[in-house]
Amino acid sequence: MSEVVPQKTVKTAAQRRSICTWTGIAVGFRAFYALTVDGAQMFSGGWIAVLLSGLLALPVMLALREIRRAYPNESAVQAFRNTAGTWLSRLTAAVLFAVLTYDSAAVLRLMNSTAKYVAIPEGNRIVIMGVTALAGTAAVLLGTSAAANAAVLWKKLMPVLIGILIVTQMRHFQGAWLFPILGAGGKVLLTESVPAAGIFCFAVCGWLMMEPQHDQNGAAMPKMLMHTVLMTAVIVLLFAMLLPGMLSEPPGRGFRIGRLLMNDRSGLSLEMPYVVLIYGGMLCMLIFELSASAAALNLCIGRLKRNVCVIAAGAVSLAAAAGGAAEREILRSLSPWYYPLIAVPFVIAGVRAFICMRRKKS
Amino acid sequence: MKKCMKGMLLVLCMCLLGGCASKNIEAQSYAVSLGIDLTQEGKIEVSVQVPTLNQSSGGGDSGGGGGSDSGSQGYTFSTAQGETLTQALEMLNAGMTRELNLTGVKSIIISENLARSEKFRMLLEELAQAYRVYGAAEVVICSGTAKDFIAEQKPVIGLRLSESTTVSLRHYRETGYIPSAKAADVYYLSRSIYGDPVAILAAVHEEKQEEGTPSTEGEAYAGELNQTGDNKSQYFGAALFADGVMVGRLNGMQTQLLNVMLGDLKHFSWIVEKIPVRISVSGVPNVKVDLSGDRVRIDVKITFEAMESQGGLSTDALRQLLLQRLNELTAYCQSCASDPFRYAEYAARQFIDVDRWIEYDWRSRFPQAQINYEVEVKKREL
Repeated sequence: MSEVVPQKTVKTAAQRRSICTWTGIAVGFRAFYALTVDGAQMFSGGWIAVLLSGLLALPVMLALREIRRAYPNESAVQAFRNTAGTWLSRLTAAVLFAVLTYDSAAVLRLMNSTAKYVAIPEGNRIVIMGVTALAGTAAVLLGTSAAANAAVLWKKLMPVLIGILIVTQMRHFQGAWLFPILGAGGKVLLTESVPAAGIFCFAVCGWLMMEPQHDQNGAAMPKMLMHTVLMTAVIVLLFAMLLPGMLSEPPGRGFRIGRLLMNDRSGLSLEMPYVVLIYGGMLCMLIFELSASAAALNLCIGRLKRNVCVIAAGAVSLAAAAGGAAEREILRSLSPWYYPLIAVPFVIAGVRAFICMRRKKS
Repeated sequence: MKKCMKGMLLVLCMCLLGGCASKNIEAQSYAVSLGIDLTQEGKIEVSVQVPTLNQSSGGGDSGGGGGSDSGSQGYTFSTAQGETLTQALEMLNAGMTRELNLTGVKSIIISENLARSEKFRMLLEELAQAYRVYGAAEVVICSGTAKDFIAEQKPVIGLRLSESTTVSLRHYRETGYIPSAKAADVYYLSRSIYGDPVAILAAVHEEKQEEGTPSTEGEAYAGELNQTGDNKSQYFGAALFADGVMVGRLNGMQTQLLNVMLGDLKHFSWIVEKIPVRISVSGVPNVKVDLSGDRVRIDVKITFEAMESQGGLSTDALRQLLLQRLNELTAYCQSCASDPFRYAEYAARQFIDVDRWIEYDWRSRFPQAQINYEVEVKKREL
């Protein structure tokens, strides 16, 4: 006899899955870009940096679990407010808005560089970024559930594209290029893992979207992040096997994007799955970041309407990107701050929630 | 009303996203070969061969292209000079009637003169940064000038030079007489922390070189092969690089052995004591690098299988020959301070990070390394 699952439970599970998937894809892709395009030369050790960043993000995920356990029947936003207090939660929302808007500007720059490399080298960057920002803002305005559901579909398509790339590149993978095992060395790996950890911490925004019925024991987001970290590490490892570590390389994003898109050995026809994969991931990232920054602005200034917040997030992001604030070097100096800025308030809230739980028990 | 507005906004976005509209295929000059020379004044001279896509030009020379000076059947040929590759390409593009597109280049021909000069390092850097130069194009080093080599290229069999170049290079690679030398790999390896790259050696075959040919065909260099026929472009052997500059040449036989050591060649044919032998490589070479002593010690074990139909082959003679050739090849590469075998990749495994590996300075230690080959030959029935 087949067991009949209530329709509401199915819907809740689907919502949880779509939020987690969307968050996972967005932060995974963003961390991959941060390390392979904007990061320092790590040689063969990039995958270790990903695992290190996952470890750094772990306390934040544990904090989220504690907050959720302390307030299992409240929405994530309310649970955070209860533990962190009104002022800290407002301050955190402001920080999240600033960080995510700035990072979405970096994503816009990345998309601009990719579009210029792939098809329109002489294209006007303001136009390219403007159109992309407009598309991202429109997608958020139309509703985040559509974007989250698109991420679920994307998750099904992504393995096919990655599979095509792995099969066609199989003979170019060189295990020997994974040595020396630590690549650029422990210090560089640790330094590079901090910005990536900050990006993995963007998962708190996915958590904040959850309602109590989505995740009562608080395990969904940490579990998703663990999967994402592992997947990102595997992809960075495969990428390291495709290209030997180089002592010097041309500056700027263009060369790195070129290496990423076609690693120069593939036929031009193979660029198609690469471009679809990379652009799809970037759009996912952009919509996630704009949506999260709009939500953060809304939390910070409750009187603002959602649509105003979304348009403001898109406009600020575009202005930052067009003004050159998200250039590679500036981004490299600012991105290490993502981690402490996001992690500290959530860990404080998590510790408070833990103490509160202990008191309740005793 | 709101929905209608949103829909219109989306449609507007779609219209704006048409990114490739400005690239009309008809408005592009797709180069098949890119030649690069160093002039006597120290300038870079680039030459391109572009199909005219003109049916009527099949029987004779074709013009076209801003700086074109000659042409072979169905192809226009243009050259330009500049202080750097970028400048030369700019000049070339300026002189052509359509935008020069290098995404379809099948081979990048570089003169030996340029490959041996210090300018080659900078040239590779510029090639890597040049917009959409096809990284999978093969790097060919030619003995004379690249310009003459390109002018001599024609599809001897078939109609299209692009296809003819791809097919013939694949065929030569299968025989093992040329290495795999994709432009991206040459660039990456020349900058990498591991071994050195190799490139294909080529020359225009001239009749006068037929006299005084080497003892066996395999020992010849490009341009020295005894051949007759319409095909004047000879691809044979490999160019050795060290520290980003060409330092030596390998003949066809040495290139075969190098390909075996790199795992790129599994079967090849040799003539041993006047007996034609088909040789197969069994498995992959087993390489062990010992860095404990003052001198690097590399032990390589490799097993071959020999097949011949005449029945008189001595496996010991073949073993001795293979061993001798391998030792000669290695000694030559060491004398050039070039590690095309990529033994560095095995040595690098013993280091924890790149800084320590670089500090070890493999490049200075490799020429003094003691390299021992253990060759085993098994006889196999045809």
